[in-house]
Amino acid sequence: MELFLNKLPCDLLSIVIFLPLCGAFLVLLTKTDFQAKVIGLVATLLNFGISLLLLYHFKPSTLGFQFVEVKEWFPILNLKYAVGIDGISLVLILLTTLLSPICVLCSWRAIEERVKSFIFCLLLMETSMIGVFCALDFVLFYLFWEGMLIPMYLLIAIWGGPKKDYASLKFFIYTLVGSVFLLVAIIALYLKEGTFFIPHLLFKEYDLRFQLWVFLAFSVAFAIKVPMFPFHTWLPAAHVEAPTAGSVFLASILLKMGTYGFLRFCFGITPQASLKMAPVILVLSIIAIIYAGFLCLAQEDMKRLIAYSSVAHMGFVTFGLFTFKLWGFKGAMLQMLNHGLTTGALFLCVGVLYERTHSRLIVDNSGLGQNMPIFVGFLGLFCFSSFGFPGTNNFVGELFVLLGAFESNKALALFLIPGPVLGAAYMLRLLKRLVWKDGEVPPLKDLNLREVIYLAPLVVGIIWIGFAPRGLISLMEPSLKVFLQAVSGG
Amino acid sequence: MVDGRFLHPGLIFILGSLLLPFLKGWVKKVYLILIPAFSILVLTWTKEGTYWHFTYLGYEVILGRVDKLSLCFLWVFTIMALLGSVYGLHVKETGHHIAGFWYIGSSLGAVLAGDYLTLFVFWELMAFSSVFLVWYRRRPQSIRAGFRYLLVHVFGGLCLLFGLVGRYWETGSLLFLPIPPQEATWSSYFILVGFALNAAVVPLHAWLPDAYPEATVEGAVLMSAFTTKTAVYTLARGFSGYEVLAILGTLMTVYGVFYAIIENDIRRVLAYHIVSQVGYMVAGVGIGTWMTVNGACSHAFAHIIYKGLLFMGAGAVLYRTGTSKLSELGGLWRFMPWTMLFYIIGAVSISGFPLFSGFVSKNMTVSGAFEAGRPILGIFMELAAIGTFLSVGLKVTSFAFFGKSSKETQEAPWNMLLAMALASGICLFLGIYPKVLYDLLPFEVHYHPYEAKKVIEVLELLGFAGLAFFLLFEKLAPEPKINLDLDYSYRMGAKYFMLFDEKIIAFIDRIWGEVWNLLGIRGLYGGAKTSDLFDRKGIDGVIDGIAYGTREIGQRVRRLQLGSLQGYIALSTAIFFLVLIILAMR
Amino acid sequence: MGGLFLEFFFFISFLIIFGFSLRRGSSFKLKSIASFLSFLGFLISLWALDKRGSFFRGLYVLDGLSQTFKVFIAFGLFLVCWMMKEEDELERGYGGEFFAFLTLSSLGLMMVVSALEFLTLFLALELSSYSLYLILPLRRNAKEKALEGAIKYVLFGAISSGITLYGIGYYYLLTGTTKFHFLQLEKDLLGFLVFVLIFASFFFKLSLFPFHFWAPDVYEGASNSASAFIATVPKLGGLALLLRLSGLIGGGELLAKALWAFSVFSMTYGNLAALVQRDLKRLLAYSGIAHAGYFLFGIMSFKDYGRLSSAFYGLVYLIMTLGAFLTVILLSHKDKNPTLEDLKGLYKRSPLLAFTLAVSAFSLVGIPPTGGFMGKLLLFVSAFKEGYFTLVLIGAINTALSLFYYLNLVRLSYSREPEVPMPVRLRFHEKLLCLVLIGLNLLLGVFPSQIQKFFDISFTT
Repeated sequence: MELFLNKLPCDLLSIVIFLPLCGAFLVLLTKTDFQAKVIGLVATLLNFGISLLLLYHFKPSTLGFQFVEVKEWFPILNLKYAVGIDGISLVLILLTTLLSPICVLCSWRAIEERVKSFIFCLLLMETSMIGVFCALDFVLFYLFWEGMLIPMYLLIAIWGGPKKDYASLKFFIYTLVGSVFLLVAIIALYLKEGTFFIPHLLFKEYDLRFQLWVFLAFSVAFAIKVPMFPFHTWLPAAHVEAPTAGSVFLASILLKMGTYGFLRFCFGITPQASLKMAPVILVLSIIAIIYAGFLCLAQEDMKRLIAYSSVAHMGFVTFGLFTFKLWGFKGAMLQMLNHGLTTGALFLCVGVLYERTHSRLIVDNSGLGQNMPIFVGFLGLFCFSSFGFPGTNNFVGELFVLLGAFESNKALALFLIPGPVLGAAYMLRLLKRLVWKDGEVPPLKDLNLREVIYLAPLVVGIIWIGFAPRGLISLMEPSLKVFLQAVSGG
Repeated sequence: MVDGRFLHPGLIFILGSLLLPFLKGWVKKVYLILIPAFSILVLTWTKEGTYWHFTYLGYEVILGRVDKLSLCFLWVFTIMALLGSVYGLHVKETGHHIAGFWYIGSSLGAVLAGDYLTLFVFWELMAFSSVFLVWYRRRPQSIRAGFRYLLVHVFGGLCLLFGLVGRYWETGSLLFLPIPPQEATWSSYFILVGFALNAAVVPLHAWLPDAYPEATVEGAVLMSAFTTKTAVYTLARGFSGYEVLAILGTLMTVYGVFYAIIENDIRRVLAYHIVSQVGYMVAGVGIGTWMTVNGACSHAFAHIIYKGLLFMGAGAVLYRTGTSKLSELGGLWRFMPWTMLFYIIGAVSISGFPLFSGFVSKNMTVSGAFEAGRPILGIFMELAAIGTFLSVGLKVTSFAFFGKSSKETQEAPWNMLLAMALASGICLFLGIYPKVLYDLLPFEVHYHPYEAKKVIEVLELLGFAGLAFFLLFEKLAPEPKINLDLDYSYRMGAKYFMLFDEKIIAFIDRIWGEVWNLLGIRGLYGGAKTSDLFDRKGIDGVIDGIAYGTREIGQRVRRLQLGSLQGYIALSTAIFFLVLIILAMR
Repeated sequence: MGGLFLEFFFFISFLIIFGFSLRRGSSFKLKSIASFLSFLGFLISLWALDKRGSFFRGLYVLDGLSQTFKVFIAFGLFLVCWMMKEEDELERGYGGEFFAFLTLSSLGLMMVVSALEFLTLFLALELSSYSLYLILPLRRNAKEKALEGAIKYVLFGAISSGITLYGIGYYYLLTGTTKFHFLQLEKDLLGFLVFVLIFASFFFKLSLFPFHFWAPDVYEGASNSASAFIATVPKLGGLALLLRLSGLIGGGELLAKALWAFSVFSMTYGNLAALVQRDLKRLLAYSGIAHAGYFLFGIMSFKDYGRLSSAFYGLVYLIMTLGAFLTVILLSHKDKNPTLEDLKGLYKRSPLLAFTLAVSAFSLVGIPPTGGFMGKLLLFVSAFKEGYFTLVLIGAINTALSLFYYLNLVRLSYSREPEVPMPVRLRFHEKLLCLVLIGLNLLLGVFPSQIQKFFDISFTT
């Protein structure tokens, strides 16, 4: 895959990656909590602006990586500091930079104790998440990929709910166990090609047996991150206990890293193996979709419900990817973004409620229709978009995935139908039980300006993707085609 | 692209509704009338043709396909919208009005849709806006009913979606065109199921009698008109001439009636009658000759008006007395004479009396069936007609408005009466000047309802129905108090008929309802609970089990640490040399 | 002879401290004096880094390997002296002996590193060991535990030295000399035996399975900083020797197998046993055993890059283990051994200390961006290159295993409420030490090339 070195006067990409880190260190120097928050907000907003510059300079038509920077890092292992992005990573980076300020805003009041360290962790998270999507060197990638665990762990372990202890431990161990095999696979690749430089590893003809092993190692790590059935149980635990900002990052971006890995590495490096193993993944995705749907119906805890719903949504993504059709790829990418927006938004809503009632149980929060009309408006939109109501983002994504599914295998496609039905079922059940209630309704006050401000962008995104996804798709399509080429040779 | 020659009436409603929250008092009332009136006005200068082409996600999207078929439905929908909003003027909640407008607008959009994608979008919108008309009743059971209603429609919508995606891969286009039976593939059957579910085709009908009686008074009036008829339109557009529809349709006509006869709640009676009446249209579409399709359309037209009228009447009763249970009503003629009058007009229209709209439309289908060489279907339809008159015409009237007098009450509000009056007017008008109706139909009409033979035939039937009513009066009574002494054999026959009806049909429907609940709702939650358990105990158990297992091993391993020096030295030297020896051996 | 100034200096500083120790009473100053001297020693070792030469008819050599490890050893000693809490750990007035023999032992290790002949080597080893024997029982109101640990260490050391001597005898038999020189032992059973036997006492120093049994008891018994020293500096000496000797052997297949077996056993045993420890020092002892297993990864390859990665990991190990021991030392009130319970809510009691512990723990697991990750990566790569795939796999699984108890440390200190809410007061130099350890650890993880340059020059023997 050819590289387009960064022609801009400054290393734009590195700035986007490391600006939050600098912000984090600034936060350490602050005196008061308020200063810390402000610095966090400014840093994330600034980063969002810069990432828009990235978008501005990005050339959608060109295949291959852009803004590439390559520097020597650790010669003895032939490690390079190499970053660069294509359409796929660009959109994910934008998603990250968009959500980060929202996360800072949503914890403005929610976090009272140790605000400084909280903001610190958030900013570290942002850096490592962006890094994952930019890294062109496998060790660098792994460094960000694993490095993210630490701040995330701290977010859950310090600011988490009552069972944070168990949840955080489980999250960490589970994900790390997966990643260890990833590391072994990376080393194996290194010994084969003598480099960790990803563009030199992509699209090579490795023999099938080697591919299968590598694919296996990769997919364990990625499947746990996604998470795919049956590796999903860490997710609800972590989500329920994590603070709102943590949940948002977890759902909206961490999960995407798994599917991103599938797309970029499994398809780019082990195409034949991916083709061979596709049926397994497809079946697992279908199980995930239906099974998670059922789980959602049974949940009493809002966060748990949304967590399971993201398992189902990610099932759609993996399904779309492993159809190996352009429709499927587009749908999967769109679903990644949509899930980022919608589920993130839903977690924010739960956070808003939690700030008021200090309970995540549906029963404790029912009967909002009376006193919180604005909130219910937002919530309704997010719920509808979550089960793919026409005109919202998820509808487009699911439609594309369905198209891809049909193109590849009608019989399997048939199994996708229950997903949205269940989706509608549990989302409407949630909505119904939150909005209506017989008996007296809780006296809660409606959204304040801050909350509206951080929910509004998500609404815009949802509607926008719902009606005019063209622009986004045109950003990703060329890169997607490259990987499609690699897998299905056409 | 958007051109001036066409203004989308659906959008008039949907966008118009956005102003509602800002209006108060009489301005709002006027506005509520103006919107539908304006849309009717728009219709008058809408010419046939296809307007508003777009491309969305790379598909060709047509928002405005105007031809005779769609025009016919557009007309009746807009008229009904006007009546509905007149009837609902007194409603306070703005949300209710908005939901109603969105519902109307989306069904208009569905009728105008020239491609499956647009159709699907409006289809979903219809379901989701209409459910609020149920939820606004605010009773726990109506919330639940609305929820079920929604689930069913989402399922139907997804069948449609699945079918249309399949069709896209088969034909490469999403245009909504007729699918001849011989070209039907599996995907078109998915679409058919989606439509049929909205048309409440037996056995996909259970949602209708479940939800409509739970809807608000004004909501029921609207819902009785749009959802099923939109489905009839799409069926007529896409699936005319499907045998399965012909048979199921006829089945519906009878089935609905049978069940209506033994119902006690007026609105449930009417709900089951929707099933029955829609049966005529579905059958007409299914038989698929020009005449029957015409019949279907004209019947849809007429039916919307008089069913609306009937629901208005029932609604008025419910609104005033607070109940629609026949067993608790009676003698209302003293308090609500106008309501009674209009209701009876509706009743006779639905029963197809000459000079009323039902006569000119229903019999078109029926005799169409005969002409198409389907006598059996025709006969069943005739039978159903009897039952209709029996239940709606005589039973409800007599037990609600006559008979023992119930508690004091008063006449319905003026706006309700006005709406009912208008509706009755239309029923009569259509009955007397059928030509106006026939001109709207998609195909040209060679049918003259008022031939002596037809009229007499119908009168005979109705007469027989009247006779049957007096025979069955005792049995039909929700609370059998009145005793007529009648001839023994008749009474026996009557008994057996009611036996059959109550026991068998009612039984079947109850079973079906149970299955519905079991598989549909309880099955869902049961599955949910079990899988939740499995997730916590099963999968998670394994994961945590592994963790604890390793700890256990740790415990075991630690035993090696004896603590005694000799032990250590012995162990280490032993192991050390053991390893060496083993390696040296190999 | 200028290159030997380092060794001289250490001997001198030993004498100085010893001199101080003769004056009873005002022994509390000794810590600062010792730290100062060891700091000087560290600087001098840096100065001596590029000194080369061979002395005493080539029995004693200054080369890259030796000089690098001398730097490590000096640095380790310096850190230990720095983090020591003398007043808590020692009986009044024994400070002198403690520091004196600590220095002497380091001196011994330095000589071990540059010995090129087996008898020299042996003497040097014993020098370091004997001074340690003296240190071990020195603990504030020493209980049986301390003495018991000391005895165990002594006898165990004796046994292993015995085995080594035995091996040396064979070596002499084989080669007719006690000098190191390059041997090719393909299929040569005797040669194989010789080396494994000789390795015995290095294994003992490394606390490698099966010579690990002493470690937990000794750590538990000895005073905190003494065990911090034993856990790190002598291991570096043993490691250095293994590196040197493995350089002299053209990769015997059998030898490799033996090392393979020991390393696998060591890792697995150490990690499994550590899972269930409550006493922090015992836990660290087991983790040390496990890491001894990792050290062998590089040695097994008998290649330069392998040795390089082992050496690198040695340095990382020094940093991260001392980081963990720092927490132990600062947490232990008076002469108690801290247990896991004492960690609870450490985050609330002293954020900086908790963070130090967290970084060290993550680094011990091998999670980026800490040095432990880079070290493991290097080791895995070098082992994988030589085709030890299963070994790497086992190593990976062990990493996952070890996560359980290392993360447990972090978890206790971050997500539990403290039992004694009173904060841990850190004095300035302790804070500084924390920052230094964290900084070095992250430096090793993120910018390893700096350190690695510094190896490149030092591995051209």
